[in-house]
Amino acid sequence: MLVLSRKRDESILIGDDVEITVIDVRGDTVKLGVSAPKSVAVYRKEVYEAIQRENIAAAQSAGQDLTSLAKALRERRRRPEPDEPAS
Amino acid sequence: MTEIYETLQFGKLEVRDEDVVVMPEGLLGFSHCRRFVILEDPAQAPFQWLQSLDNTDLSFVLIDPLLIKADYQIQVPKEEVRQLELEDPKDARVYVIVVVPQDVREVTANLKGPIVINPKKRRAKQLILTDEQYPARYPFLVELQKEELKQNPE
Repeated sequence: MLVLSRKRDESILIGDDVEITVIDVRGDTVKLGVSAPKSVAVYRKEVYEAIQRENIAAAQSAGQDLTSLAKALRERRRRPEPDEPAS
Repeated sequence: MTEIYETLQFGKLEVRDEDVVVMPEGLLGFSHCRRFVILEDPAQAPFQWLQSLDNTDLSFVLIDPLLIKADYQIQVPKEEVRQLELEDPKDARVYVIVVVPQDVREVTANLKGPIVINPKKRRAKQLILTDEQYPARYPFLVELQKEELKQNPE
């Protein structure tokens, strides 16, 4: 990992198209601005990792028989719901 | 054209070109898997499966999020509308991926990373929602049962 120190308002360029600017530093929170082409996705890492983790968990769990769960869901939908708002 | 695939979960599949859904970026954690088909089994409806054609051992359980959270609403960002070649954002079909743990009652759905499909172009993408209200692990069965108790207090 390349480690650089930046002060407020200083920037880092990644390749020719991505720029990260330190907008503000307050306590232990750094506010970063990211300039990148629309085609480059920018995510908070923990969110990205959460999705990835769930995908992997899903891949491992896909072989199970869902017949009873499916039945329960279908039956639930058939049950009339009180106070259902008119759409 | 039709191709035959031997899948781990569904055995032999005959897949027509027009059945193939392409995810140019794959799924997070599975970026090399780009070609899929969506499969159904009436006995297990409303669940469906996203079966990978690049790795025939790989499949994901899908469900229409509105069936498990009636107020689930997402906005497909402009850039994703463009990537999916959606002529009308309303054409998009949304699924969420289901994780089935050992205890089936603790089943969850990933509301934070929905799969958005453009059925007309057979292109799909996994979105990452920044909206904090949608968790990546939504225990929908537990939530549905809670709702039921509220509506039918004993």
